[in-house]
Amino acid sequence: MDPIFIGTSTFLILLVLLAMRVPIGFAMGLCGIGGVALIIGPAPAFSLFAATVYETTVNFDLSIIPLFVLMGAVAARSGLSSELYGAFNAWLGSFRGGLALATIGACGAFAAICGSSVATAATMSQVALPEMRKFNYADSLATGSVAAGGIIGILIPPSVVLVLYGILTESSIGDLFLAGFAPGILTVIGFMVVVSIVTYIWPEMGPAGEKTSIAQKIHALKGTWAIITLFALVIGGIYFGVFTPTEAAGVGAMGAFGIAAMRGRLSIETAKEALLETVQTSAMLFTILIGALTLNKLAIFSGLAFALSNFVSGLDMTPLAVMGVILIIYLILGCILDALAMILLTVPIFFPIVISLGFDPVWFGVVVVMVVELGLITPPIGMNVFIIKGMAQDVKLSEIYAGVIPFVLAQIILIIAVVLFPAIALWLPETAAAFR
Amino acid sequence: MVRIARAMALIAGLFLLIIMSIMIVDVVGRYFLNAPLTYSVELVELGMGLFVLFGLAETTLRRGHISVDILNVGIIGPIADNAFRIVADFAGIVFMGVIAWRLLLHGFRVYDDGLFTQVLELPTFPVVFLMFGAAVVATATAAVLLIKPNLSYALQNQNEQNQSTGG
Repeated sequence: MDPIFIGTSTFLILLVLLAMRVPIGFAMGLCGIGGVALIIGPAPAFSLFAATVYETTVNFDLSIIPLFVLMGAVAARSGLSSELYGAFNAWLGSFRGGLALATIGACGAFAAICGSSVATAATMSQVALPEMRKFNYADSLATGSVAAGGIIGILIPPSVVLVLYGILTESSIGDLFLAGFAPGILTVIGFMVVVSIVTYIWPEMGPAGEKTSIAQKIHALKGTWAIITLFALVIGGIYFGVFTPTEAAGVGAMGAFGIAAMRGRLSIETAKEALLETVQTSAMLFTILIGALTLNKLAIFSGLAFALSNFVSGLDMTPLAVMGVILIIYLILGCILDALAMILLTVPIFFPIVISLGFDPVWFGVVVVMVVELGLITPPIGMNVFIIKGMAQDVKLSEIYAGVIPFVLAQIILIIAVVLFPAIALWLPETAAAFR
Repeated sequence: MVRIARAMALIAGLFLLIIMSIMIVDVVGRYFLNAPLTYSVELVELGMGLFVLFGLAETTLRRGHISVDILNVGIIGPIADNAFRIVADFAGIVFMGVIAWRLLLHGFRVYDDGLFTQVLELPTFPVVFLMFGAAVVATATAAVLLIKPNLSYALQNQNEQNQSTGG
């Protein structure tokens, strides 16, 4: 049988299995083994799979995944979210839409110690939603700003999705983290602009809060130093090459425990909860990673990845136009697929194309993550929106989606900016190179 | 089965704490005491293998493996829904079963070759066999779920209750 035919039909079978709700990791792994076995024979295929399992699990560098997950899990239980929110509120609350501005800001700051969008949205909504509803914010703005603020979590380092991208494409995780930083900050600013515009047009949606004195403003910053220190330690350490991203994750996790302990929030029970959550998330992530790496081998052995990139480079299209098509595919897929699944499924196929067109791998990672983030808040399946819906049961799903629309537009503009001006993402890793 | 999976997950958590500590000691040792842990890499490697595999059973039991749930019971009806579940659970058994089988073979090979870690010269076969054991438990968990699907739903409800009461 023609390897390309085997590759293509295996990918079709994979789609059927996924539609039947077979967990993504299992489906990718089994299809990968099956397809490779048809091409090079069962014995080498199984040996290859065994090597993938062993090399993925018994691996020093990949300890970065559970350690960053643990850092986020502990931080989420440290009660820091309410203080962050309080600090941003003291500074921004007196503006129109101030509570929504504070939500976006606090989400961005929380993202600096948490690598997951869903966790950011879930943690911040517990603090921000009740507050905004108390001050008669429109449900659409209140829920929309938390759902949108959550997606900042994926981009501002540390970011679990960027780690997985780095592993799959063998790009530098440190560079990816640094490259995500500026676009992440821009997202925060962009979303704040959105809140300002929306409340300028419809002032009743987000009434301004009371003015706070300078003393109050400064007092509110008290709780934020811990996050700033931890972030500076982790990302500064990576930037200056003091430690590897993996070691930074270890330091970060320990730091999160330290912060929780200092705040009297660290009991055996919370530590156990955070650890169990980390264990489960990590087992899930590693299963998917093993599946994706196995499937990756099929894409290579079948010649599918090569054929596809040949096909695309044979097209009479400029590289930028090809990139545009790829991003539109991501946008559409993002509406129905989970962010993680999407990256792991598509990157092995699109990555060779993108590289052959001369794009920067780190830059592509940031762009992909930005596009994938959108999928978290776009209908019909937006994980963040579902989480907010779970927290605010009486708000209609359609209302949350309506509240999210302005943020989606802002995010699309930002993506176009980063695509047209790669330097937005790449300047930070480039300056960091001087220190290594 | 529920208790075994939970105990293994807690052990996995301990492994992670150990990994974290080793890393901290290594960084601190390198910069402040000029004495890096030369064997930190191999200890973390082995710890990671155990960490991931020991968490597999609990994750499977609580249906923690993410799937694409576009076609839910509301769209496809209860009969197809159940059929999908059986396919998905069966895939889990096969996938984790293959992992267990290959880890067993790998364990035998490592044992025969007398493979040791580079610095501490620890034998690696006990770790591989422990990983194999954990994979067997995970596979068994998937098999139990195939027969008793309600088990994981009961656990999930219990989880949600804990969360809503415990904040």
